[in-house]
Amino acid sequence: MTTYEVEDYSVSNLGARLNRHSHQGEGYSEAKSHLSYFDEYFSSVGAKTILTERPYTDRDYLEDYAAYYARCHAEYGRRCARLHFFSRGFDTTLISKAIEGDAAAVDTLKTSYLGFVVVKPLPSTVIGRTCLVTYGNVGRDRAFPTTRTYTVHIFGIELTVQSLPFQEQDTDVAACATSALWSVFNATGHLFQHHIPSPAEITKAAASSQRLVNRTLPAGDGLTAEQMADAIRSVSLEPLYINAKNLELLLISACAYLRAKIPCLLMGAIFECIPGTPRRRLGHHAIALAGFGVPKGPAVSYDTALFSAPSTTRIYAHDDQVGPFSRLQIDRTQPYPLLTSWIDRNKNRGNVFFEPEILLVPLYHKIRVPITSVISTIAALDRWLETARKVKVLSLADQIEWDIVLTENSDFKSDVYRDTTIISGFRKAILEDDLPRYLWRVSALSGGQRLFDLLFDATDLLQGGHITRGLPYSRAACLSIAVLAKNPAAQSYIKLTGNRGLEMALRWFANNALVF
Amino acid sequence: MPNRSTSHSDAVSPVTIDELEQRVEAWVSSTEGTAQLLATKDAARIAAEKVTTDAQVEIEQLRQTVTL
Repeated sequence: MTTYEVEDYSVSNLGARLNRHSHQGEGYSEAKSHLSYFDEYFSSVGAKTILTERPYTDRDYLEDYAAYYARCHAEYGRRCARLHFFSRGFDTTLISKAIEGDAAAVDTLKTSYLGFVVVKPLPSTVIGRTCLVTYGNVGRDRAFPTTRTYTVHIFGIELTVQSLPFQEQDTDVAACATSALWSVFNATGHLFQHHIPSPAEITKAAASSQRLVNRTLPAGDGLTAEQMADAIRSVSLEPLYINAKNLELLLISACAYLRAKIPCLLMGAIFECIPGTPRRRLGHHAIALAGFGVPKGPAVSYDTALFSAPSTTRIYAHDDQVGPFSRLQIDRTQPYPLLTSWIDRNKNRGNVFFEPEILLVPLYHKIRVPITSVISTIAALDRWLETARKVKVLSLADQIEWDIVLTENSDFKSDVYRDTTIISGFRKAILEDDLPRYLWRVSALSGGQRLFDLLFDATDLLQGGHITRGLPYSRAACLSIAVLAKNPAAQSYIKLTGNRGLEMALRWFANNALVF
Repeated sequence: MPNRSTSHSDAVSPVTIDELEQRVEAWVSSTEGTAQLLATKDAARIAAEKVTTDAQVEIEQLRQTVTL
C-alpha cells in the first residue's frame, strides 16, 4: 500500500525526509550544498507543504538499479520515495477530502502544485528525478523554453508541472556530464522523438567507441566532450561543438538554440576566488543550459555587430552540484565571466566562477546549418549596412541590432499569423509559402523598431547561401537597402566580399524593391 | 522603380526613391565612396571569417575530461 504523509515545508523537514528515505535512513548529509539551494529555491517559489509518497517506482532509478545497484552485495532498495511540494498550507484532512472528490480540495492540490523530488534509496546521492516549477517572473523576465508539461498522478488526481527534469550525479553510474546529458535528453527525447536513456545507459553509450581513461562503471572519472558527443549520437542526434571562450558568441548561440527548445551542454573550468586567498581551479564541469534572463539592456557588440542576446544578465542551468535552474550571473568585470551558485569551502555563495569552454548542442539531423554560418553572414551584412548608415544612404539614427533564433516552420508560421505589422502582401505570401521544417530567423532592429527579418533555411546544404526570403517591417529601411543592392557598382563590391549568404540577402532586397 | 515616397512611421527618415538612388550613385562614384566600398568589402570578409575562427574547438579541448 502506498503511504502518504503531509507536513509543513521547512528546510529541516526537507532535510529529514531526504535523510529518512536514503539507504538505511541515515545517508543524506545536511552539509551538502543541495539542501541550502533547495531551501532558497522553495522559498522563492513559495513552498508551504511537503507531501511524501512512498514507495514510488521511478523508471530512471529502476533502470540504473537493474543495470548496476542490484548486483551489489549490500541490499540497496529498488523503490524510491517521492516528495511533492505545494504552495498552499494544508494537512491530511484536505487529502481525505480530495480523495472523496471534494472539488475545492482537488483544486487546492492542482493550483498549488510546485512539482516533485524523487528520493533514491542510496547512501549519499539521493536526489533523483526532480521536476520543479521554474522561478517566477516577478521583478525579472526569465525564459525557460526547454521545459514542458509533466503530468503527475496522486490519489487518481492529475497534477501538472512545467519543468525540465534534474538529478544529482551518483558517481557510480553517472558523473556530472552524465547528469547534464540526462537532463538534455529528457527535453530532446520529446522534441525529436528518441528514447530517453537512463544515466547508466548514457555512461555506457559515451564509452562505447572511445575508451575512458579508467573503467566505465563506476563512473567517477567523468567524460570528455568527445564521449559526450558519442552519447548524443547514441540517441540518433548530431552533436555540434561551438567554442565558448568568447562570451558573446556563447550567449548568441545558446539563446538561439534554447529558444528552439533545445537545451545545450556547457563545459568549462570551475574556479574558487575567495577574496584574500589565491584563486583555486576546482576542475572541469558540465551543466545543462535550460533558460536565460530575457535580454533587456542595450545590445552588446560581438566583433563590430550589435546583438540582442549578449545583453542578458543571467543564464539558468541544471547544475548537478547545485540544483535545478541554478543561476549563472554574467559579470564581464570578473576574470571568469559566469558567477555560479556553488558554495565555496567556507560554505558561502558568490565566490565560485565558471569559465566556459565548449558549448555542445544536440541537434536533429535535419538542422544542418550551424548558427556560426548565420552569424558569419550577419557579420558581413552588418558591415555593409553600417557603412551605408554612416554615409547616410541608410537613414537610421542607430546601428542595427540583430536577434537570432532557430525556429520550426509551424511555430514560425503561427507567429507570422499573429503578426499584423509585417508589410501587407508579404504576410500572406509567407503564410502560403513552402518553407523548410527548420529556419533561422534573424531580426534587424534599430531605435527599438523592427526593420526586417531574414529567413535562413536551416536544412540547406552548407555550400548554399541559406537565405530563403525576408520579412519586411519598415518600408523605408527595406527600400533604402534595396536601392543600395541594385546599384551596379555597389553590387560588384558586395560580390567581392565572397559571402554567398550576404549576396542572397541583398538580392532579396533588390528583387523586392518595387513592392516595398 | 516608381518615384513614390518611402515615408513610414519608423526609424528611417522618409525620402523619395529618386533621392535615394542619387545618394547611392553619388557615393559609389566618389573617390571617398570607392575607398569606403573597398574597405567595407575587406572588413565584411574579415568579420565573417572571424566567427568561424572564434567558434573553432581545439582537439585538446575535446579531450579534456569533465570530472566534477
